[in-house]
Amino acid sequence: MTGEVSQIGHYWRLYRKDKVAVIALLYIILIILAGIFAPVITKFPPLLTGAGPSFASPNAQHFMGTDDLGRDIFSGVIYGARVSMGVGFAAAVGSSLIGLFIGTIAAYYGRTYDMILMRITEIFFVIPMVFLAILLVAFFGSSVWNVIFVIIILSWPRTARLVRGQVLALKQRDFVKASKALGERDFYIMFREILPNTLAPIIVNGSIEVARAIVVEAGLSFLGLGSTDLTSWGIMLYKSQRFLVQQIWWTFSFPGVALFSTVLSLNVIADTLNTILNPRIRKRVVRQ
Amino acid sequence: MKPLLTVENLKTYFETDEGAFVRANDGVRLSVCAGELVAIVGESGCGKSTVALSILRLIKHPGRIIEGTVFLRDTELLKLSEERMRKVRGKEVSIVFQNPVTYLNPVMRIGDQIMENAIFHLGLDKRSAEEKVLEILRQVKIPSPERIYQSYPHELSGGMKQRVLFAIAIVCQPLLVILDEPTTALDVTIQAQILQLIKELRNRLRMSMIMITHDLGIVADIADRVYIMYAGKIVEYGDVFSIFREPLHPYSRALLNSVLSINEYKENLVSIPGSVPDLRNPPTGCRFHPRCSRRMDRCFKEIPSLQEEKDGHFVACWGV
Repeated sequence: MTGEVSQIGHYWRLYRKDKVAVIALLYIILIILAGIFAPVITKFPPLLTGAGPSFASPNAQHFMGTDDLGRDIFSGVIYGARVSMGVGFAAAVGSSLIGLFIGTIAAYYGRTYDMILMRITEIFFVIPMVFLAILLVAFFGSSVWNVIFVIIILSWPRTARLVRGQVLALKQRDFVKASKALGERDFYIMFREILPNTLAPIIVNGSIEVARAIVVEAGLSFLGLGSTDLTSWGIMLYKSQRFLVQQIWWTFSFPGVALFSTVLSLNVIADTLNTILNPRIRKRVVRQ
Repeated sequence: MKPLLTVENLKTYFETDEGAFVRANDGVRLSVCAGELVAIVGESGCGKSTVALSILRLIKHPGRIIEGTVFLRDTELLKLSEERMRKVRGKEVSIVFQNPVTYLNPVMRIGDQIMENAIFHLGLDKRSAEEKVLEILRQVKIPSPERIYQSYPHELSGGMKQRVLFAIAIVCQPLLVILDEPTTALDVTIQAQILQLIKELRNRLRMSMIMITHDLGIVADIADRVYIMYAGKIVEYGDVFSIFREPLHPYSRALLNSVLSINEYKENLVSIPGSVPDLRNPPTGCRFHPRCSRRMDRCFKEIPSLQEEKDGHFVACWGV
């Protein structure tokens, strides 16, 4: 156990050196906590109409003002963090798991398996996102689950290709041969011996996928394909696009800034993780 | 005495892209008795490692075992299902590879790498497997096993890693351990330590071993019997004393002649003229004839078979 703990400690010490990344991490933790404790933090339910007057500018009662129906924008932003973060993480975890599985199997067994699985992956690569989203909404109605589903369907091929490349290189390594000589099972070799070796790029890729999923969720919501009974930053932007011309800035600025800063933070975290988990880049950074 | 392992007429070929076959093993015979250490000696590329991998059935595409039999006691390994074969690997026959640096998983702790074998083959629970691992680490003379247990491979020296590979190989008390050039990647002082370890393990655990090497010094030091291999075939085998005192095959003689000895003065180091033949198109007749100083007409045409010259000393040569 001490081995693992000291290793995490080691990476944390490296991570800590990057002050911007620490701030980004703290910010993401803050957003997650805000989402979790949303009912405690906010005074009004996010979708309650008439919580205040229409288009109230930011004031003591409504920190971020209200929209056309008098809904509290601060509540919307805080509750929106739940949906945005939830969708982001769920989609990233889901697509990573599928990608890991498909990519590993394809690379490890190779030949026919590889051929078939990679062709399937390519088919998913070329599905147009908006088209799939519209189709799903048309059949099943718009819900947050459909959004997650669409994002997973569209992002697992990226992870699959990444993992496949890694496993293709790793399966040639001698320790895999040694595992076979010890009579280990294929699945054990794939997921216990090889996969931990690919963890660094997968973690980095995963954190980018979270950011990407949040943006895609916002994009789909902005097109009116998101959830109808929940609110997210994308949905708030969708609803306030009309006020852009009227320059009622608080309706779109606050969710916009929340979205922007969260995605930026996630990207900063991913970038820093990439630097510290990749020994070749790490050396360069330390030398500087 | 009935041998523990008997390999007869083993043929392992590798198919090239042009459709030709590289005959890495072309009719190999080998036997190992209980408690015996048998050495396979030959130049690089003569097919020594292919023998080891064929016994464990780890030959990968495009290689294939064409024919032959491999008996471990009464079990024909080449006929076992893949599932049964998996239970033989690591449990009954295990292997120590050449390069200790690359054969350990860089992201797994040493203890876990040894333990997984014990759990898989012996069905131990985690606690008793842990004790077993510590005991094995002590057996291979690793100082402070508790600390090494928690270490990752990159924290260990080459000699230590080689000891860990031995630990992994012997944790299930296999009947046979194959050592594929276990000392080649190590420097001389560590080599000596590893050889000492091999001797101790043999004495204590009474395991049979096959040692693949091209270092005749090591062979003379620890082997009971020696197989001399040339171009995919066994050309001579016998008792280590008999082979070293009286090598019969011209290749064996040349091989022994090309080694420097501290006791005798040599003006020039003798090397064998020519190089290892292309195994896609091996020479007709005796495969050594293009390089042989004593070749006769017969050597060009007919393939010599292994004949017993003395007690247990076999040679495949028309000139003997």
